[in-house]
Amino acid sequence: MALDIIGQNWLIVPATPLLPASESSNQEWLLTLTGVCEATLTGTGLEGANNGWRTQSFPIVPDVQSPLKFALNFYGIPHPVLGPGALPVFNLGPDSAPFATVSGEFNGGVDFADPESAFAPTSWEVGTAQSTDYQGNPANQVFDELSVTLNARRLDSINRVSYNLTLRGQIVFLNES
Amino acid sequence: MAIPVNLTGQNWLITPAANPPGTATVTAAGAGVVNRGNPDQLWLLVLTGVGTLEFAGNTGTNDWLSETVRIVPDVLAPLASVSSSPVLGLAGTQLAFNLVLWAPFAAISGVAGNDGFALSDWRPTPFIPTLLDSSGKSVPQVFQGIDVDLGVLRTSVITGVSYNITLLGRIVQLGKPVFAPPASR
Repeated sequence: MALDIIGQNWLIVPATPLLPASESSNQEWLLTLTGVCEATLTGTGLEGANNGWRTQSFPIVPDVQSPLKFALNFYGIPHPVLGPGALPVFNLGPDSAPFATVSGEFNGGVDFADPESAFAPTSWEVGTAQSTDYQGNPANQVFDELSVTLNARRLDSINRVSYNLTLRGQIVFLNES
Repeated sequence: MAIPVNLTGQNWLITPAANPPGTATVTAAGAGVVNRGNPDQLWLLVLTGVGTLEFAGNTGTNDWLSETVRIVPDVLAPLASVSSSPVLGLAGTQLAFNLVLWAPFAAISGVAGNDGFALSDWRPTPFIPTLLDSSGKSVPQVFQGIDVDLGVLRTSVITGVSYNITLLGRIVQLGKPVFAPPASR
């Protein structure tokens, strides 16, 4: 289940000079997504398994509809009538630069700081899905989520995770109906 | 009132961004050439850095203590590097960045005596809606910095905050702020 996002921001801008309307389906975009999420991960306790460490991956699913619709309108990009038959999604190119970090943690259930409690983000990865656009063309890297793997040790409880994604790709339209 | 963060290191990057149709940047030099003097030119500005502060928890209770801190990066240097206007002009005017889109990001970069810390949210520092540019045009979304909500538990002391702010906007030459509406006749 995706993490609850407390606050999020986005910015989208053409990654190249704006292409003529006749070529706008080839337009590349730079999309920046930032935000803070609520998370819950606690280590295995003072005498817990795995030397106190617990590891779990969490999906983060930012809103991409808002920036894509903004870009289409702001830059006057020709597009099909938006709706279930043409839902705008972001099809990634080979370049993406995700980042995530722990933004909140505490020692849970005690009123002292356990010196051996600890936390660490292990990795983050952009998740994509394969699909076809509303005209039947392949869209092989549709942005789906950011997966963040976290570690908490002993009494440590991670309760906030934040992210900063810089993505390059194209706007394509899926038929969801 | 937000606590100011003492910035100890900062970096920036600025590059022209494509304009929407109808705000052409075409100059005599040809299509695609950036017109630095065009007030409609959009720019992509990235600001990164780290700063210090001392936000200590309340050791006498088990409650979280919350506070808002303010990060105000230098924008004059990047704007001056690409602008055809002087940083400080006549009549007290100066360069500023009027935002179209913004994507701030901040993180806690230093904690001492860790019992617990939290960064809950960030947002642009409230805009000054009455600002005018040197021609008298309203520029209601001039970047003023970002505000970041922090929390500490018991013995924790947050000692560092870092940021990565991506902005899209236009360079403006600010006139004097208007603090009150004109007197009615």
